[in-house]
Amino acid sequence: MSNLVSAISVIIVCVGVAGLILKRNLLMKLLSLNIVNTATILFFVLVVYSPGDRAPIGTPGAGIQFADPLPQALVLTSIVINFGVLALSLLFTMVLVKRYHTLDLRKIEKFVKREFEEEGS
Amino acid sequence: MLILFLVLLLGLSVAVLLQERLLNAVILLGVFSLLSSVVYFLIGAPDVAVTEGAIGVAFVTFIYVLALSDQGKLHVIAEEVPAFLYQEQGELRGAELKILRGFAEEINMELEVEFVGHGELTSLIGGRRADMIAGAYFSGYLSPEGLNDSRSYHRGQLARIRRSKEEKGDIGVLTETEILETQDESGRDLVRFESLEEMVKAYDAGQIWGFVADSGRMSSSLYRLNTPLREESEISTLGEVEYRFAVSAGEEELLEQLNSYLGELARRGKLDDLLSEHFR
Amino acid sequence: MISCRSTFGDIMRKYFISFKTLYVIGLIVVFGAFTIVGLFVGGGAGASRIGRDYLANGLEFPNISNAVFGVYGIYRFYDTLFELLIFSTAVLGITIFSDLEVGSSSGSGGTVESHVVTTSASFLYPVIVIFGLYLAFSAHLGPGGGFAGGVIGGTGILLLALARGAEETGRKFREDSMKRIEYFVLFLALLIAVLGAFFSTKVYGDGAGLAVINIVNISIATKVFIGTWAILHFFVKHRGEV
Repeated sequence: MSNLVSAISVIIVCVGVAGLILKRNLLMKLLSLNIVNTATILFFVLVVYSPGDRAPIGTPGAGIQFADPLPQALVLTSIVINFGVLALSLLFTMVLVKRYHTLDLRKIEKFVKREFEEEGS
Repeated sequence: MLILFLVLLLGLSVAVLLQERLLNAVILLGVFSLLSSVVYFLIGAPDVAVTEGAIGVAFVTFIYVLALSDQGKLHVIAEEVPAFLYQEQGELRGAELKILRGFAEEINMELEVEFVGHGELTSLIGGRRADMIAGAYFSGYLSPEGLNDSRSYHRGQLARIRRSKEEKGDIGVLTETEILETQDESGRDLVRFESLEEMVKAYDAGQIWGFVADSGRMSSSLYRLNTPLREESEISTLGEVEYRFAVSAGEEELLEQLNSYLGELARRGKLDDLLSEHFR
Repeated sequence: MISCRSTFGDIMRKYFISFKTLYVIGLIVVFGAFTIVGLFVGGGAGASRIGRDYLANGLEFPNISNAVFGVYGIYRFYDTLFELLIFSTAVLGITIFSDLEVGSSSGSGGTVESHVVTTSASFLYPVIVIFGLYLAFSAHLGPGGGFAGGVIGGTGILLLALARGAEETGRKFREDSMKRIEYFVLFLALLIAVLGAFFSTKVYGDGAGLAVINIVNISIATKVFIGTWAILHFFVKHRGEV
């Protein structure tokens, strides 16, 4: 059971990575990165799942099986850091768009390269 | 139960990547976070569920929507030409202003007009700091590299003002105007000027024998000549020009929208109303 | 031979698939297949219980019922400390750019002109902020924790900003006092982490234990709250033109 569900979350990570590389729009790349982050932490929590887990709160009585608290704690900090990094990268995207008036990454690269060559010559 | 949710998550993630409008993709991402929060709750991880719900659903969607404002800015650079696009007491006026405002409203953007000098027009568009050039622009006014012209919205003439009919001196022309290369009969040197005021001053002072400009600019420049000179100058027509806008090369979508908007205006006859209001 | 290859290329071009795309997708599929096969082989997932020790030891502290809090608040507090530092750096990066002319500041000063929104936001935001505070303080007793509590509190303050106007709220939560509170709270967390090296874990079990736990809760919640408010305030002020 846990094998199957963690396999599906690995597929979601792969879909997110494919979107990150193949999309040209800067904001779509950020959204794909967000998908990769969410799917990775999903994988972390799903890998130690066995059916019949309860929340690790309270005292463990007889026969009650608790979920594993370690990946949950590791993943909590990861969620917060993800959204901090997302806010910062959105800021830089806004700066880029204001300067170059386009969201297409290839056009921005072309213009930056041209500016760099003009400055150097 | 769990497997159903996960397959739904897989479908959602593919759907996020296939969207065309960015707003739809952001909302689908919010739904994705919400579903994964439900999955965490079913797994037996309520801490992670609450945190992912608070951050992924509310906060991330807020930030994306605030960064994705609906209106972008249409940045237009222009030379200040009275009756076409000019500034009076801090307020913008002109025939082109109405066209630009209507166009900006049509494509759901905010209009921003910046007045620059003649030499900066090409460099600003080439460096991608602006989207459009306005201000009595016609083909050949600037070197066409990096620019695409739109439809014309008005016709004018290219005129030449001379002291007398015989060629006795140089002819002044605004920089980068290319149309004169083929039409100057006498083969005199063309003196290039940076702005209309300098050219008119040079003509007054006698440094050049005549100058060439289009009729739209000419009407404003005629006022600046001192009166005896104005009466004895001879004005002749060299050809016709069509006033257009210029869009930076590579913005095909903007050009298409502009052309269709101008075509729509012309078809409904509104263009003539606009122009007769500002030009005699 | 040559004609076969050209028709293959034509088919590819007709369906807008280029060789580079296929190469990328192929690599990703290989990576995914490798990971999934690795999951099934070697004992499979779900077999190991990494946190078994934390479950066994963490719940013998009389004050704590939440094992997850035991992990990130007591046993692995250094991870949490450095996560707070990283978050401070990200927020610092955003506040440095606050004088940049990015995007248009909204013409009406950030107020929404509808009466329904302003009235309902005026009496809804205290509920949200108090709920966030409750979540933060009951981290060791139930689900929640400082992270979720801080984010919920920050979003409630965003609702307050919608009710009263973004500029006025920005003036009330002045930047320099916010920064001082933030760094003081970081210093508190650092203090607890350092003191933990000198005193044994019995501190958590005695009467002073609850105070230490609550200081941990407050520091995480306040840090995330101020950081969230700083980020949201920046984004409301500089609405992008993307």
